[in-house]
Amino acid sequence: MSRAPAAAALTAICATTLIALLPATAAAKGLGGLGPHEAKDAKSSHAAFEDGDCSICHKRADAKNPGPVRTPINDVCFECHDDFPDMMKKFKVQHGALKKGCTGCHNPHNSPEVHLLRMGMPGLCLRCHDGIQKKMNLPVKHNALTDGAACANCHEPHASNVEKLLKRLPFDLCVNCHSKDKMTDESGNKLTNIKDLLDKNKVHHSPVADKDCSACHTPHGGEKFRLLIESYPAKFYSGFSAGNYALCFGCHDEEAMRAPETTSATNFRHGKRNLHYLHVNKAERGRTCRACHEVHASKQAFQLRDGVPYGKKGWILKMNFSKNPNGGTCAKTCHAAKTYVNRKGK
Amino acid sequence: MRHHHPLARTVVITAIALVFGAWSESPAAGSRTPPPGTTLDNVRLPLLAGGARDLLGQKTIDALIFLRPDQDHSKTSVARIAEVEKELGNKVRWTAVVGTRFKKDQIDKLLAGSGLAAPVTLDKDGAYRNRLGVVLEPMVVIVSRDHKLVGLQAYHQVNYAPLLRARLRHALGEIDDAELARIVDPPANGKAMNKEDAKAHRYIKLAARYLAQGKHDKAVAAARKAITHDASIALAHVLEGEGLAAGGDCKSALAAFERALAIDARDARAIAGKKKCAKGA
Repeated sequence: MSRAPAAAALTAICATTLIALLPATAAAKGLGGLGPHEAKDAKSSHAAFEDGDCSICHKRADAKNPGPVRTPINDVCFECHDDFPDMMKKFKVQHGALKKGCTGCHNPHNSPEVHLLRMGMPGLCLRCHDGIQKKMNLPVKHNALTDGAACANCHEPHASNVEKLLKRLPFDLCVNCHSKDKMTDESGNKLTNIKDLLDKNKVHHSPVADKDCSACHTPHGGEKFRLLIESYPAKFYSGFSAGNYALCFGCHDEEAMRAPETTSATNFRHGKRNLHYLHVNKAERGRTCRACHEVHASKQAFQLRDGVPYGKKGWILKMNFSKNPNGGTCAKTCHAAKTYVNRKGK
Repeated sequence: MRHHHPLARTVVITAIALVFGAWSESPAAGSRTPPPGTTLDNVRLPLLAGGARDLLGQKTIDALIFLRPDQDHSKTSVARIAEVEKELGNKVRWTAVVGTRFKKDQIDKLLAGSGLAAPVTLDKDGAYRNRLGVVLEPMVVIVSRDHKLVGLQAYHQVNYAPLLRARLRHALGEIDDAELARIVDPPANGKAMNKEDAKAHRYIKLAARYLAQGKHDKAVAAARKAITHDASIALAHVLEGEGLAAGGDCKSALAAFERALAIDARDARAIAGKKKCAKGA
C-alpha cells in the first residue's frame, strides 16, 4: 500500500475526530476553532497536519486521542518555524497577540482562510482591536481596510521596526495605492495621484517630506472628508474660527491668523500689519488656506499655489506670487499687484 | 514669582539683537530656519520657576523643546519626549521654550504627568522662536556642542520617539549616518527566506523531528519533500540518508550522503553517515 493514501486516511480520521471533540463555542463566536476543517473547505493546510502524524505536535500519534501539545504552543511552533524567535529579537515593535500564543490567530491544522488564519481579516483583528471597528463605522471609509489583504495591506502581523506594526512609514504605504490616475472616492470624485503630484512639485509640505501622512489623515475611517483628522474648510471662502482650521492649527500657530499686528507670528506681514489676519480672519468671506496654499506640494516656496480653482466652472485664478528680498508681491490675482515688506532692506 | 526682571529683559533683548545680526538670511524653500551648521548665539531666557537660564550649555548637545500649551500635539509629544529625555540622561541638555502669551497654569497643565524634567524658559512674544524660524510646534531644535544648529525634529504621529532618539544619538556620535537613515526611513521587514526556501526549511525540520522519534520512513519522505523545494540544501540529503540508513537501506543512504557531500564536502554528518554505511554495507 503506498504511503500517500494512508496519510490521507489518517488526516481524515484526525479531522473527523477533532471536529467532533472540540467545543463549538469558539466557532459560535465567529472565530474558527482550533480543530481541523473539512479538507474540501480548506484554503490553507499545515504540512505537519497533512502528514497525518499527530505526534509531531501532540503527545500521542493517536488521531482519536492525540492529547495536548507536547510543550507550550509557541515552543512547538518554533521547533519548525525557528526564524520567528530571531525575527522577534530583530524587530522592536512586537504584536502583543504573540505572547498569547500563535493559535490566537492561526489554526494549526487547516483553515478556510489563507495563512491558516482562524478568521479572515479585518474580522480577526477587530476581535481585539474593537476601537478600529468604531472608526470603520464612521461615514468616511478607507477601502484599504477591506480590500486585498485588509489590515495586512499596511500592518505586519508579527513584528516591525515601525510603530503601530506598520510595514513602512505611512507615506510609503499610502503612495503604494495613491499613485494611480483613476482612483476615486465612494462618491466618484477623483483622488489625486500623490506620487505624480510630488514628482512635479518639489516643495513638499513638512508632513509629506517627513513621510507622515497620518499627521493629517486618519487611516481607518473618519467623519471628515478625505479622512482628515480635524476640520479644514472644503471651499475657497469660510468664516474664521479656530475650529474651522483645527487641522492646520494642530501644528501651525493660530496666533498667525488671530493677531491683527505681529512681528513674530508670521512673516506674511507688511511691517507689523498681519496679512494672514487680513485675508483669513473674517466673519463670513475669509479666504481659506486653500485659497493660496497647496496642502501636499507646490512649485513655489511657502506651499503657495500657482493658481486656485475659482467659481463653479473651476476657472484657475492665478496668484502670480514673487518673492522679494524683503517680502513678496502678489500680482493680477484677487487684487491688483500688492507688495509686502517684512524686513529691513539692505 | 517674577520672571520679567528688567535686567533679564535687557539681556534678552540684547541677545536677540545679536542673534538677529549673526544669522544669515537664507531660508531654503520657504523655510525660515537657518541652515544646519549655522552658529547660534547663546540667549539667556527667564525661567518659569524663577531665575534665568542660558539656552545653550557649555560643550553639551542641547535639545530645545518648543511647545504650545493650547495645542494637542504639544500635549501628546511631551510624554514621548520625556521617554527619550530619561533614556539619554545627562548626555543631552534639555530646555523647554514656551511663549509668554501663555499663563503659568496653562504651562503647568501641559507638563503635568508627562515626566518631562526639562526646565521651562519663557520666550517673550515668541521672539526667539521666530528668529530660529520655528513655525511649527512642537519642535525639538538640536544644537551641537559648539553651538551649531544640527537640525529640527517636528512631531510625528508614527515613530516620533525613535526618530528623536536617533537624531540625538547621531548628534552625540553614538550612531552613524547609516543607522540614522535606517531609523528615519525604516526598510520593510523583508522575508528571511523566499517561499521555496521556507518550505524546504520546514520539511527539513519535520524530517529531523521524525528521525528523533525513530520514524525513519516519514523522515525520508519529509526530507524528499524538502529536496523537491530546494535540492541545494545539504542537510536535506543528509536527513534522507540518515533515515534510509536507519531503515537498513545503506545503498540508497550512501547515494544520499554523496549528494550532500557534493554540495558541502565538509558536512560532518554526511561524512559520518557515509562511513557508517560503508562499514555496514
